[in-house]
Amino acid sequence: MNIWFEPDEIAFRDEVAEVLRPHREAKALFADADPERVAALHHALVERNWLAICWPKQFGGEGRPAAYEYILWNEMAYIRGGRPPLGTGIIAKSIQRFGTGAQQHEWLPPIRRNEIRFCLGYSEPEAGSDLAGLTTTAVRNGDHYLVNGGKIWTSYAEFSDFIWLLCRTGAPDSRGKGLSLLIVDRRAPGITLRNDRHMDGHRFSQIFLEDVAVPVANRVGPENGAWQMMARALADERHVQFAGARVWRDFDDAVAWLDRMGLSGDAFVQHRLAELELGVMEAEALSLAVLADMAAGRDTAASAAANKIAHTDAIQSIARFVMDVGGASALVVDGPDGPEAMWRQTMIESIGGGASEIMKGIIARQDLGLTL
Amino acid sequence: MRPVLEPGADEEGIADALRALCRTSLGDRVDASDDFPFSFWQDLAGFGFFALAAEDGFGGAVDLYAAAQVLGAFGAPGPLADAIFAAQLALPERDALLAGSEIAVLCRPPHIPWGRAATILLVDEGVAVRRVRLTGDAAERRTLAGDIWLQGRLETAGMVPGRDRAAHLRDIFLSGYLRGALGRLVEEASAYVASRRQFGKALSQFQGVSFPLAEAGVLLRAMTALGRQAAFSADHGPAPHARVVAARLSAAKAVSRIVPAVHQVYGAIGVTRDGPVFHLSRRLRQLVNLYDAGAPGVPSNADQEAGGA
Ligand SMILES: Cc1cc2nc3c(=O)[nH]c(=O)nc-3n(C[C@H](O)[C@H](O)[C@H](O)COP(=O)(O)OP(=O)(O)OC[C@H]3O[C@@H](n4cnc5c(N)ncnc54)[C@H](O)[C@@H]3O)c2cc1C
Repeated sequence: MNIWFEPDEIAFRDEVAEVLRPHREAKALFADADPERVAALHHALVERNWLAICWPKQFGGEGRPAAYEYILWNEMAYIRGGRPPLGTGIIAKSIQRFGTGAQQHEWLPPIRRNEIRFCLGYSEPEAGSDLAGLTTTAVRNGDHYLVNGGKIWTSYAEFSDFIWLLCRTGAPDSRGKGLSLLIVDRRAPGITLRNDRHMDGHRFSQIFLEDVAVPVANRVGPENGAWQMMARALADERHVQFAGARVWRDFDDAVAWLDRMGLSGDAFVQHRLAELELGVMEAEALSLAVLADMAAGRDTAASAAANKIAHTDAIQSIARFVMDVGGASALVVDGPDGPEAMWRQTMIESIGGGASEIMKGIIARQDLGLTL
Repeated sequence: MRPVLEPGADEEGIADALRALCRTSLGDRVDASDDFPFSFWQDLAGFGFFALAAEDGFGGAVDLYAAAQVLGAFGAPGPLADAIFAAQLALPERDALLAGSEIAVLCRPPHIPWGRAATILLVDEGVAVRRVRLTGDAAERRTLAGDIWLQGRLETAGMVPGRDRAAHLRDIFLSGYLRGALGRLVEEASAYVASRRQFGKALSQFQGVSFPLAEAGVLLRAMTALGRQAAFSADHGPAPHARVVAARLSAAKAVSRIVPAVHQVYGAIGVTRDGPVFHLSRRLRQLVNLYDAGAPGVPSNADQEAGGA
């Protein structure tokens, strides 16, 4: 019996599993996934309006509780399915909460139908962990802002249509109190990209912005009010960011590989696998705990931080263990589920989305009341 | 007390000369390449590197350890440890090996590292060395470090005597190589976090950043002490086996702890494909897998099971 979910939620999970069955090989999470397969998978979701499964009905969504979203993206994570980039989560939810009626009308339908793609322009060369120190400026000039500066580590920017751009509209030293969010046409004059890759093939761009004119109508939320909006959007999304099923998938792939290599019968390997499985169970339980906190209306910052750390530790430990016992065979490049690919891929997870040390700071402050 | 930890003038001279060679032959940094580094190999042969610690060579195990550190710091490619191993064996092609015109590799059946260039195929069986040859077709496979290997069936062509000293010098070489590469990573990471500012101060001022690097410092010291101790012993009679293995294992342990810590303290730039860490970390991880992986109690590891000889 599944103690976490109601019968209707379990029925939904079964339905999701059924819909995903033909798409098991899409592996959209991976850098060089087959675009046609990924498109077919995302199309299957759009057809059912599942990209908007938990959006309020007034915005064209299905109005389901957050558990549905958790179930959907969790099942997707098990097939390494990946969400279409960003739009349906942080961006759509921010527009729903803080956008004008006109913005909701303009942006939400194409996002729901996966017709437009966003990238997240937050980090800058000099502002990573310390995001509030960013220096890309947007200066008001009539009905436009003129944007100057640069972004970095922007995932999949080269495939996006719009940048969800965090920039400074306040005084240079205004930190979190002087930031605004703009929707910027990625192909607008003055924007250039330098594309690159992380060590697992994940694509990112450095974005250069030079006198880019952005209509004031593309500012979402109040001028200088972005920090609170970002916090809110993050809180709305935490339950789906680090899915337990992804950790199970890595574990299952690792066990399958060890089995294929004739290593899984060894007593030492089995003992270590049992320890790793415990880590997987902890990560899964913590991801459900984030959902539970959210459903109960509690603040999720510390539970989400704990989940991210447990998730990252678990997948890195799995990958490193398989490398440790896998000998030369583990070194051979063998697709996205092979040990060396897992070793490369998991290394980046303790940095993207906020470094583990920053997560630990959140727990120290919020759970333990410590002053850092 | 005997100067186990103090580099002698000879060692320093060899290290300096090799550093100069690497600088011209490899440039500042080596990344994966499809091809065997033939011209570098010739330069090493001209230097006398392959014979360095051999009985008829111009140096000893401590010199080899010092040279290995230099090569590690440059992330030098090619089957270097295997070349050192093979140079100690009574192979008919030994002169050509030392001259760099024959290339020996240790196969992990069915894998043949650097298989397209390798001319002498060996298998280290722990107590003896087997010479093998490829039968039938072989498939090309790329590896984590970006090298190209061959995979195919290997059949025995004979046994080669002289394994023990060969294995000891190979392990001493490896611990020196890993020490050199890790030392460079930690040094560069320390400089980076001292210069990178976030939240109004240098990253190094956060103990969450400086402590993992300090722990790396402890591991570097331990691996150096064990590595030099093994090399010093090997120069003064047959080295105790456990001492040499401890040097190699300490180095492997340091790789598995230091590499993730260094990736982490750089943040996103530390996990880029062409950034400051991956070009070395991938090679280090590969070396550890080649020479140390295999769970205790798993005598024939994955490679043996997967087919081959
Ligand atoms: C795969 C990947 C995808 C990404 N995608 C995007 C994206 O789409 N859009 C976007 O805007 N950004 C993106 N990022 C950037 C990401 O948000 C930043 O990398 C992250 O916030 C850390 O910033 P930084 O890389 O500049 O590291 P820095 O802030 O320079 O920190 C370096 C390291 O120092 C340590 N550290 C930092 N501060 C502290 C502290 N206070 N206490 C203790 N230790 C500390 C951590 O170990 C950290 O890893 C992505 C990053 C990765 C790796």
